[in-house]
Amino acid sequence: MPYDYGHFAVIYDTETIKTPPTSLKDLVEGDPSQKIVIEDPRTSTPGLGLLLWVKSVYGDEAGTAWAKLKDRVLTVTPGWSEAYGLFTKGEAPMVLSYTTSPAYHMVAENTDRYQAAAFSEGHYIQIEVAGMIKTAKDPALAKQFMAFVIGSQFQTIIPTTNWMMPVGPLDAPLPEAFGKLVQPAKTFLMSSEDVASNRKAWIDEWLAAMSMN
Amino acid sequence: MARRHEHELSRDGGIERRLTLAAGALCLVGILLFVALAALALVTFEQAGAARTVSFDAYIWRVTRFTLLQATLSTGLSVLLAIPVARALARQSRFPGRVWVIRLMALPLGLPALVAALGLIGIWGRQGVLNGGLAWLGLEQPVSIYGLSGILLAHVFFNMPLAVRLMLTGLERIPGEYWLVGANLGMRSWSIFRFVEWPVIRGLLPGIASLIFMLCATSFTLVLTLGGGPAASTIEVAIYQALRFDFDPPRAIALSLLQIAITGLLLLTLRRLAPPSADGPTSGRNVRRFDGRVGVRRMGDFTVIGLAAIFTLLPLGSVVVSGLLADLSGLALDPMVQRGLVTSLAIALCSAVFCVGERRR
Repeated sequence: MPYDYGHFAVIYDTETIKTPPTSLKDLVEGDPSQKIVIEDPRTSTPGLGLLLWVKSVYGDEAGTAWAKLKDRVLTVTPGWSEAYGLFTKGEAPMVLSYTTSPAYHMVAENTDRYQAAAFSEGHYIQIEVAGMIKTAKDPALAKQFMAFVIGSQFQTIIPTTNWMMPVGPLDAPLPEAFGKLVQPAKTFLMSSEDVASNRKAWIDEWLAAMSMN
Repeated sequence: MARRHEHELSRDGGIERRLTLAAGALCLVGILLFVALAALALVTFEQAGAARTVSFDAYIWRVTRFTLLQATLSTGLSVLLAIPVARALARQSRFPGRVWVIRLMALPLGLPALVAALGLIGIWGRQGVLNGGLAWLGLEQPVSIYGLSGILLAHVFFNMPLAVRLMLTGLERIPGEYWLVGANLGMRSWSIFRFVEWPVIRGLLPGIASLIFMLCATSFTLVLTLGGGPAASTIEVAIYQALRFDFDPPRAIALSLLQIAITGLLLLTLRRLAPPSADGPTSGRNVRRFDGRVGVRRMGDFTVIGLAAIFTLLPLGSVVVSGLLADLSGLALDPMVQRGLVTSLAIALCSAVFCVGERRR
């Protein structure tokens, strides 16, 4: 059962990047001295998200695209926290995150220095889900909790704590900052069967392209 | 009479030793059972019908090679650099702040990998102090640490201080007679190293190197974050990958066994190469060193100590500075942080008691 979602996006520092990439193609073919930090698809969901994003846009050409993008990649971190930490420290002017990340900076830090780049091809989406396991000890209680998760009280808290978009009705309107976020022109999402059966091959393709010298 | 007494002593010693061995074996069996049960739970969790064979493909071969390469280089560098620092610290046994330098050497290991990585980047990174200095001097920059050099830098930052502490403990246990004799023979620095210090350090090396090798071989966050790309992946990454997205416990366990086998093999080899030396008899007189009094020698020692201290201190300082810039007081009052602190302390305390308890005899 989905309880929140977010679109992946390249977040950039407006103080160092005046003309952000306007498409994935722009990102792949842009100036390699402007670096980006990405996450590893073997260990993190944003990393896997970018992998699927590139695959959705480039299809069979994904390997070549990665080989090109590689020169722009400063480093590949195991998870989102490391990547975002490097980005906010100023190590790289771009990072792979979510369209909602600027809302965090606007609401919690009162700055619009960090912005998401809208990509003309569209953005890949991440949907976070909760589920009840078959062997749950107290199924009734679990169901009650699931109902709570999509209830308005829980959903009102999600946007400003997990910094993801809510899926249900809210008790209070979203903070104003959320209205200024990038609205993806198109949303990419592959079926989980597709991902499950191809992930290994695609990660191998990524590894091969990214490990070349 | 004296002889009989001696005989009895050794017999008592024999019984005691056997008891110790038995207790040790019992504990080992307990620990093995504990680990095996946990592993078993993972294996049996696998869905029925998904019989997979664990294949050691080209990928595994590559990550294994890289694990060995980076861990060997990291261990070698940490140990080599630690020797002059430990010697200098042992030689200069009295100077203000010495105890603080030694305490400083205990700090890096206590840092979470991510925090340490950010601290190191604060100094060595593209926007770090080093590149800032180079820019100020008008030199070409940025010097990029991402790659094998970054991994080695981070591992030396973590482990060189550890090696220094372990070696220093050994050097400080050298009986005072040795220094007296050395001074009487007019031994120079090189002879002292060759005949007095090196035998002690060599005896400690297998233990220190094995420990550091294990820490470096299982390194994960540092290797990925500073490695610059997936060409820098350790077996640990493959293990995590097997569990995180693939949920393939047999593969994860097979990889863990591979990791244990490699480390075990190295441990045995190091033992073979350099058996630990026995402590010499001593009258227990106060240890007084007669070397390292000359001005030049003192200056050399303090340069070495100073460089090591700066190398360790700067990234820590960078962490502290960014901590102060963040809302530290607000964080300290946060009930979630307080609860986390209590949990950490409780776990650390219990683990420490279990680990050390066995040695109390």
